[in-house]
Amino acid sequence: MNQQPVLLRALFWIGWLIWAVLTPWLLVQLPDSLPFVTWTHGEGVITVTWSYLVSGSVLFLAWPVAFRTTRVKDILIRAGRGIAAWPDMLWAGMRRSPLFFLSWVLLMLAWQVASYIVPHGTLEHPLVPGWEYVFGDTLFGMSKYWTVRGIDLGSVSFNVEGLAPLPILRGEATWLGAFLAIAYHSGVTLLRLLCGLVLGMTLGLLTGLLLPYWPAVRKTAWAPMNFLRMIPLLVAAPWLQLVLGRRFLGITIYIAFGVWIILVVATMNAVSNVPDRYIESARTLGASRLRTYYRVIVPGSIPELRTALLLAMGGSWSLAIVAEFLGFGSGLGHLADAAVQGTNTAQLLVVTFIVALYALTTFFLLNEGFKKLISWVPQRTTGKTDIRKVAGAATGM
Amino acid sequence: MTTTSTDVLNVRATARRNRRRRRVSYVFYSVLGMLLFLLYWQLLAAPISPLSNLIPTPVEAFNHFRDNLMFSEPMKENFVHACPDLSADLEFKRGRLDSLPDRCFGYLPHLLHTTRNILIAVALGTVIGLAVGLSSLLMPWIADVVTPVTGFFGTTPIFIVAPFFVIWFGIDYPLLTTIGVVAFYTTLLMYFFTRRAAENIPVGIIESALTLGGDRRTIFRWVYLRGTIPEIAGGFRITLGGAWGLGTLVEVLGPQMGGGFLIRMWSYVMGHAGGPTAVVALILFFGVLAAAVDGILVLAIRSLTRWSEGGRQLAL
Repeated sequence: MNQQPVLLRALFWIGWLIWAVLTPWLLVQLPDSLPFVTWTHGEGVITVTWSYLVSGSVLFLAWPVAFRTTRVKDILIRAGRGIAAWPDMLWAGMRRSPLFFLSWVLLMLAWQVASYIVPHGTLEHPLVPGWEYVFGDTLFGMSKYWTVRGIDLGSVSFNVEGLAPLPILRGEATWLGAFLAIAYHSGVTLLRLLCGLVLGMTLGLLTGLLLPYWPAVRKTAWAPMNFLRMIPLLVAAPWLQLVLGRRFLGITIYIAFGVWIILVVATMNAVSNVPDRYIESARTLGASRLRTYYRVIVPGSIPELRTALLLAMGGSWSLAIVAEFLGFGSGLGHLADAAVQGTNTAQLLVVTFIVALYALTTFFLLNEGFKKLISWVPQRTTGKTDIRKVAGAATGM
Repeated sequence: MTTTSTDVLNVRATARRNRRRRRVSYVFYSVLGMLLFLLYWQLLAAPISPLSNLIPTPVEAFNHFRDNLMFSEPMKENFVHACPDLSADLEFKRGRLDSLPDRCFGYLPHLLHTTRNILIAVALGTVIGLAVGLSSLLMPWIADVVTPVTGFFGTTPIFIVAPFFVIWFGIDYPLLTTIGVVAFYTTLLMYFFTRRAAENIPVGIIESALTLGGDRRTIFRWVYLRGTIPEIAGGFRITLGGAWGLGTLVEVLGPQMGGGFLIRMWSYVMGHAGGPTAVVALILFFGVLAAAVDGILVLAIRSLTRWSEGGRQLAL
């Protein structure tokens, strides 16, 4: 009974993936006579225009609209309601904890005041730049990092020179170029991070769950794993780049290794922390050793992995940024490196805000995903305490 | 009348024997694990391996470290020294650095410099983090002011903060760069761990204290301050573990002295013979140092928090 929806769901996702791959091909099949077809193609090269990107997005989203109409409608309605309720939520949040907002406002103001007080020095850029400089000249100046002329996918290439003027080809600096540069370098970093994270998490969880099945293996692996965990991987970046290569695969393995080592130790720890009574109950009911491990210990250890996963996420961000900072010509880490080379604190600030935004989003998504994953765990009243409440009650007595 | 025929003394002796057996088994498997790890590493670095030029053998790494610890010929050849005070007094002429004592060209002063800076920074950050975290328990407005900002920096990769310190202090005050970044990171983490430790104190304990007539001040003094120690100690281990890597990394970016600076120097000649060996030897030094300090911390924390379950269960 339950198999059909699962099968249909799988078909939907696989179908969407195929549709996404087919989208560029479908677009070039459209007749040139159509008014919005401004792109050209020939000899395996597609000249990308804004019209091409918009049409591609529409076509890409047409799949869920066609096959999950109700779901898409629900999501849109929910998103609309969320946006509409945003001002009220913000106001309620400000009333609930005004100091939260006040501290941020004060911090921003203090920075602005510092930008007037701190001497400019002999450098090209101010040491403490004002916000108008950060989000004005500096952000605009980042268009010089829009250097992408084309993207080669093997069988097909995309020429993106037409999207915005390229300063490296004597094109003028534009806001569009600045945002495209940020989008491109963000995309590169996120892709590296995602690949490394997925690979590291998969291998880390598998290794961490497999090793403790054999007690002798677990005990033998414990010491070297703990030692590897202590190695400062961030500093090892220059050497690992030599060993793994300054390529996409190299940085992916570097991030994956960092994530793997965090998760292996944490998972082994989580397995050993599964309460004995769970195992005893299962064994008493006749479950075999393998079945007990697979059906009791493995699920029982998952709730404890939340902190480890969040740590791994934080670690992967650091590794990605450090690797790009120390040896890659693209990505947000490269932008940070360029800022340091030019002693441009303002550009560094822009990169910091972007990285913080992405990091917060990825943490939020991971946390929400994990909550969904462990939704089967019975919810109990937490043992958390707050001195304000309990000690306040005491003083009131 | 007895309810059991088991000799109590015998039970205790058996428990002691089992405990001893467990310890021996722990040491045996740990040694076996490390030996297998070294064997695997040796195989990776063996001449038959395609990575043999890039990965030194464990013996090569150890020998390099030993040979360069007190005096390093390559460092002298490249005029890399650890005595800025002495060199400042020398006349500016060719070969002037030759007159510096040999110890200036060894790794030791650099490594001691890094170790000292990181420990100072961690101590500083721990004091500030604990002070703010514990104060916020008594004065909640502190938490309201501090948490949003620490929350923002807590989720941001801490490395992104390091370049700010490099730009601001890198040239004139290199010491502030390493200490500043590590202290900032330690403050953030210790603040979080303190808050979390306080929140995780079971309600039952607080209720017991209230039943016994505890008020805000005494509950803070006798319950929160003591009850948070095991979790804060665990957090301190994590913080210190991360501080070694971060402190060394900051030195890779800017300052002209320290273990990170040596790694940067050797990174420039990574393609040449000796480069990978030196970098691996230095990285391993910090790994071993971190593991040793962590081991000492575990022993100290375990003896200090023996009264708590968390403290008793603490292990390497």
